[in-house]
Amino acid sequence: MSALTEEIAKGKDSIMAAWEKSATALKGPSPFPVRKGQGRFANPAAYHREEGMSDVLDWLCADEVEEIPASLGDICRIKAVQDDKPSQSLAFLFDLKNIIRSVVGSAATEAEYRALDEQIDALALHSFDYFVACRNQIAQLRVEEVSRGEKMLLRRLEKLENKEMNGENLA
Amino acid sequence: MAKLNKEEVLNFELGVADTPWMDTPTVFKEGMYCHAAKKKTLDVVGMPNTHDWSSSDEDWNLPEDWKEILLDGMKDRLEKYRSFRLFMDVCVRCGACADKCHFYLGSGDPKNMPVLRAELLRSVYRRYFTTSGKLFGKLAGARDLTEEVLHEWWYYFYQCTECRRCSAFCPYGIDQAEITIMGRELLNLIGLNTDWIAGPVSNCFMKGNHVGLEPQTIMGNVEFMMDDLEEATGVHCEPSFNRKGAEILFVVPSGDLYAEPGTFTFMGYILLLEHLGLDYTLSTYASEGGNFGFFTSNEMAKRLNSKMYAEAKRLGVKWILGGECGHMWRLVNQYMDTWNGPADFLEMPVSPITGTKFENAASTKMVHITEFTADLIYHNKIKLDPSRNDHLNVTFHDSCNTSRAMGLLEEPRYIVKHVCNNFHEMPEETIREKTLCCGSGAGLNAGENMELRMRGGYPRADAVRSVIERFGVNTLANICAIDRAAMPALMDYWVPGTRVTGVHELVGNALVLGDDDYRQLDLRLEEIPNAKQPPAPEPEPVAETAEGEASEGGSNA
Repeated sequence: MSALTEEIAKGKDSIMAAWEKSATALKGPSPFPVRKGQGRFANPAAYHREEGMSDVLDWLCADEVEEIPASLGDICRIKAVQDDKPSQSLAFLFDLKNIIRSVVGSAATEAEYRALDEQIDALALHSFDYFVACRNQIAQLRVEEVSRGEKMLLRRLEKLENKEMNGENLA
Repeated sequence: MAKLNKEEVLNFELGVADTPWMDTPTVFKEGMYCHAAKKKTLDVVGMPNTHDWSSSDEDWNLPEDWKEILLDGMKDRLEKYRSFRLFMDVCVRCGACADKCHFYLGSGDPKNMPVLRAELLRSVYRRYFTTSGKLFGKLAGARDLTEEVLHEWWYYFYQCTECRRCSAFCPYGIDQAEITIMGRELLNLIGLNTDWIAGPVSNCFMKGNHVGLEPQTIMGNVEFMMDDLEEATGVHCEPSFNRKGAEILFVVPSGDLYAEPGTFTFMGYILLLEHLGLDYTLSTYASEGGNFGFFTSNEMAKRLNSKMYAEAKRLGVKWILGGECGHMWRLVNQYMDTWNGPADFLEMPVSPITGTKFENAASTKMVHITEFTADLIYHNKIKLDPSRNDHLNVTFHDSCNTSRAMGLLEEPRYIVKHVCNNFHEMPEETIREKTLCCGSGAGLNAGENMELRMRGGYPRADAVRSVIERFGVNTLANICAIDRAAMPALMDYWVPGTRVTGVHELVGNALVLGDDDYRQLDLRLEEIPNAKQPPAPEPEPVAETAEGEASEGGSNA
């Protein structure tokens, strides 16, 4: 574990608190709902946001290369229905760079900071892919919903086509 | 590397807007609102002040005296509806409702807090109808009615599904749905409906159902469904239409007549009713249990609702049986009798199979099909094989209207537990009276507002996810046509792979029609895994193979 990741792990609570504030700020894009009440179902978006952010910090501190946490996908999925531009929706990930710098001490080297930035950039790129996939899915949901509503109409058409093929009178 | 100032970096907003809510402008966001109602659609039902406009334009082409119309309308309603006046005055803004709204939980937009949504209307009420508001204006929480306020009303009153979850938590019992209802009713005075609501209203008025299915289309669709039912079960059913003298009029939500998965639920209804040999008929005129008039105005809801009683009278039935629908049952249970009753020409519903008198329907003369079926099961009148649904691991979503407005909590569960071996409840705070909305009710199940629907349905979907994680649930059962129409998209987005089904689809699968019912297909014409096989026929004596006859091989080879 590098000096930087050790410090991140040690200051995780402070980083989380600052990151939470940045992610729930009402300025600019649609905010995440602020957490109120206890338990997952009192505020599922906040629950999954906290889970995802916590997993991201753990991922940054991991000794070995691990897959980007799936819970980051949950955050992207929530963000994708907030109708903001991807750049606005995912800006909170880049906030992490400054937040970590402000919380950790001075033991880390420039190279470690550069590696951290690269990791966060990788998170962001992954999140953009996920976000775009969610947006595409929303378009597809509309098509599929219409298609479920047209099933009977399509069967009627199919029946007419079969009649036509069999040379029956359609009048 | 230069270090940043720690205090500066940590100084983030605490989730509080920079400006007070009254000064925070409303920005219309794509995916969050529906298309405007067309003038010609509203004209069909004689709505006032209809005009061409677009919800994405700044200028809504309003009638010149729009403000007077709205304020006069508000005055009329404050005098007419005691509840409206009470709800305008009584709120202490304790915030108990604030985080109970699925739209707020899914978006974080403070104007989706029920208390603030109501405040949009209350602020105008105070300005024009209270002394403090007239004298002190903003200091008393009052504000002028302007075009910006009007736009804000429209944007947010069509972001409420009237689900009434917030009301369940309000210490005063304020029915926030009624505030939305009043808000929409006022907007309709100046032609500001959505097309997704106005279209079904005019269709229902002209043709009897939301999508405008004509009698021959309904009958044709039912014929297709009966073909499928025959393929699945080997039984041919021919339900009657518009048959005078039948004992029971069966009214279903029209979604069950044309859209999947509602059509499978319809097949389940018919299989059960035909198996029982019930004397019932469908109507091609009262072909809609739902009522989008309720999302328009009280008067429109009354007009559209009346068709069920009118048709029951015309056909001379004794009582009405209703399908699995949501808001239909809020109206039947809470409004129908006042609007169009008493239905003295009908009789108190009595199950012809069990003899049970449905005294709860003594006034409306209308029984929910889950009440009817639960009674059958309770009296052991139908044979069920729940193992046919063993590949389904089921949870049950309480529809907002049947649970909170009707108290229909146990009957659907009783049925599901008898027709399925694998059933798991979602967490307690997300079911029964506290159920979370699908996010698409009250006329919001359009396509253009899909983002809004996904936000609103997110808390429900997350509760489903929790039972998927814990119990491997793969099926969401419900008793509402809008749920069946809207939840497949919701599940596909948040918890892909979750099947949405009506309760009577599960009943239809489990129903044993006779000793020789060894069906291999379910009502979706999908193979039933591990379906029971018919007993092997008695082996016949093997005839000796004639010399020279072609052999299949094996021991004869």
